Amino acid sequence: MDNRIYLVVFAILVGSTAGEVTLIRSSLSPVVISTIILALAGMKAALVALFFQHLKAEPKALSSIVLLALLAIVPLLTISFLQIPHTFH
Amino acid sequence: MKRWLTTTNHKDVGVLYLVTSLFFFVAAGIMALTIRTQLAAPGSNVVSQSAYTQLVTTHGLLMILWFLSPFAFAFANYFIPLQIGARDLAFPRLNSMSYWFYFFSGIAMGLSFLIGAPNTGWTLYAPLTDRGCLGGTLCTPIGGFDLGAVGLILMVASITMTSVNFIVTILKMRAPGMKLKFMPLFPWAILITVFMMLYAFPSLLAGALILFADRNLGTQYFSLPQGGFLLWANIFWFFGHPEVYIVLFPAIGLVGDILPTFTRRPLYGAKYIVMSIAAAAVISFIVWGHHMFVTGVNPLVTKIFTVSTVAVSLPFDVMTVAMIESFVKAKIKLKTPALFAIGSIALFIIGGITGVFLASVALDHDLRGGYWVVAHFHYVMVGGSAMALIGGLYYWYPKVTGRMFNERIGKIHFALSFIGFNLLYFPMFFLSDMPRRIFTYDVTAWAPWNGLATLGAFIFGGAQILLFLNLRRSLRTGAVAGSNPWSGHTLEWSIPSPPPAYDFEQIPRITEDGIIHFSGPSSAHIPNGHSHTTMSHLSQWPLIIAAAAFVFLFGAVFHIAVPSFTNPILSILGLVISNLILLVGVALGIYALYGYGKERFVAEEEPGAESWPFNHVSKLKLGVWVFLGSEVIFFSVLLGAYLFVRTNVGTIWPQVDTVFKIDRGFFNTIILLTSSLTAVLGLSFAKAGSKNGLLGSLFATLALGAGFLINKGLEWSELFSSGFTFNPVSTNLKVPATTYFITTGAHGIHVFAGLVMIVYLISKTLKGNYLKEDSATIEHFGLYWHFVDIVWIFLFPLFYLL
Repeated sequence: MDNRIYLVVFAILVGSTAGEVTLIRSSLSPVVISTIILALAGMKAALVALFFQHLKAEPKALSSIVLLALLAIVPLLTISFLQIPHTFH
Repeated sequence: MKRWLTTTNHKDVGVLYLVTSLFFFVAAGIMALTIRTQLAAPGSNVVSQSAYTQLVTTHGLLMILWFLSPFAFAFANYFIPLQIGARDLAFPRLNSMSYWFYFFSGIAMGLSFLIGAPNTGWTLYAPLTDRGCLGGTLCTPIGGFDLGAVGLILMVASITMTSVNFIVTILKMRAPGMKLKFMPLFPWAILITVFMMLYAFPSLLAGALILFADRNLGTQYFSLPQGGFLLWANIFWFFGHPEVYIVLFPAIGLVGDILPTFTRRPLYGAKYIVMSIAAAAVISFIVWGHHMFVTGVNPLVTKIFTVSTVAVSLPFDVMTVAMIESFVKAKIKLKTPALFAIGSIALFIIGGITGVFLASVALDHDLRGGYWVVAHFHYVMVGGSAMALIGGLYYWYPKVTGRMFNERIGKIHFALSFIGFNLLYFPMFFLSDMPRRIFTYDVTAWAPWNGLATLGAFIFGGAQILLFLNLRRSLRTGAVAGSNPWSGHTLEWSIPSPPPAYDFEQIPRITEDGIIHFSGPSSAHIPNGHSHTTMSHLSQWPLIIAAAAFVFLFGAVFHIAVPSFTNPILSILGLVISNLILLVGVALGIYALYGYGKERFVAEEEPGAESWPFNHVSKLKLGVWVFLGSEVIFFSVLLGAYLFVRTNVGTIWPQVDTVFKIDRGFFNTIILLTSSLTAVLGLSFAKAGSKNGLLGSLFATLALGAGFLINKGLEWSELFSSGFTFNPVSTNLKVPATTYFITTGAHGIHVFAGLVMIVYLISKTLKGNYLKEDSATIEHFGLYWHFVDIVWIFLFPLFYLL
């Protein structure tokens, strides 16, 4: 892969990290800020995986190993929150 | 002896697994007989309550984790390469290391049992296992329990290595023409099982590490009043329910191989059985909540888990019906392996049906605490799994030893086992009102059923003596088996019994019509053709690395236990000795890793191997990605634990930029992102053949990674000095401190491991390695390093910004 692509990706990663920090000091509601920041983190992770780890150029089956792991963990991360009895709040 | 300590041959490792797992079978079996003796009559005092709870816990853990799974993987080690037409597993040294980690994990469990074993049941429920007793003290003794946790940690390390190895082997090393559709059922079952192991066990690892920290460092996850016990239950059962199928699927695969041989017709609906196993594997990750129906969780959640639990029973219906259909119009040869296979199907049906009752919240409420559940899961685990695996032992015994066993004794063994098993467990269905966690009772109505069960236990246990005697005696006196005594159709029956060290004289090739041909160069020219006498394929390093890990963790537990010594002289002595053990562990580890890295060990890829869907992906690269798959689960569980406790404690979380300074986190993020850039540029330099460029990139990555750790260390130090510890000045900060130090600590250890790798890479680059076509290792390191970077990409906002 062309080194220039790595530099562009790096610039986006640094820029979006700076964006996260700027956002936290904005007057937007906490829910909006949290959503945008976590979305940005997801985007940064995807960029690293696609370009630095070259998943973009690899067979889809390779990505599916990690995607399957994410798929497996999603129920745990979501359902366990639904379980919380109201008495805790 | 040297051969067995240093072997990397898959068949030798398989034999090692077999012998060790059978040892644990006997040990845990003796515990079971002791338990049954205690329960035989009311008011019995054969063992004390404390001893009884330790016996029950250790029996459960040993049978599930140290017997059933390793027993199945003894067969997998020996026969998967033979069945798919390979000469070994993808990573022979890693395979050897998996075994030795398993071996030492067993030693840790054994020692734990001797000095005071876990006594909480195999589920290790928190806060009983945590600091849940009065005044935040431990409810269970230090030492034995923590050593048991060390056993679990070593076991998970072994299982992760095994998973990586088998996934890569089955997906990358099938003989030419051995398309996935031609694979027998056993490799299919193992493939699905290892994927489940890969995704389920990191949850147990994360849970065990957190529990260890809670007990010994003073963190507060599982003893958190706001739902800590639920957190443990979620993490444990997310692993625990798939584990039931992890134990079961290899047995189903084995039955699927035994049946066609003895019914003399193809397995009915083989394709649908594979699809059903896969479906059950997927659904098994969303049924764990049915173990938590009575924990007070939200009713909506119980409904979800009722539906998913009923759903997971459907694929098993397909499997059992297909297997029963295989008998229709078949000319069945009722040899011993077939009897065990058929027996296991019958028992599994009973175990399965009685489990479906537990999907109902109402029925579960009454049944879960009684012996109904004990009967149900033993019908699945022992009836469905162990009986089939024993059938497998008979089935493949002639292949491994070259001798036939005594068929008559084998049949008597089956009859006694089957009768004994049912006498042992069927009465327990009538004891559904007897609590399953009491060590004695005074209800006379329970006595007859318990007496019957104990009688069955001794018949079942005694029958196993016949197995050992038969197999031992037949080693010397059994008739010569020949290469295919059962007229089997899978590849292992096409080679001599016992198989030669290199497995196949010539590589098998399978044509579209399913016919096997042997062609290509003879074994003498094949690099993976092991020989027991060839030094190049013996390696002592896997054993030493596993020993070092055990010594270090043993030293850590010893060190932790020292403050509980009451004698001051013993305290000082204990401290000195435990420090020395820790040092020995570290030194041995460094020495062994150096030796492992330096050793020249070639396990080349076979030319023309069937490797769809990873045709253009190397074995090593696939192995790294598979490992990263397990890491995704590990860190997700840690992050999930953080989110869980943070959500529950709510308002006490510190405000942004008060404890965790944004500037410091931002600076560290930029450092780590830059190190990812230098790592990927290093790969470009390596591919271009620029030694100086590669060296520069590696040094830059090393400096940035070290900078990250130094900055992190400074931050930790400042936080500690300001009172932000596990026992903080303000109790409100205990949970934030817990999650912060544990999560970033786990990440920091990964960064440190990456730095060690870079030092190794630099030393090899200085000697001219890794340039042009040789750059794959740099890429594989990069995959790991970038993953560590990705983890931080999430940690930064979660701790510093939100």
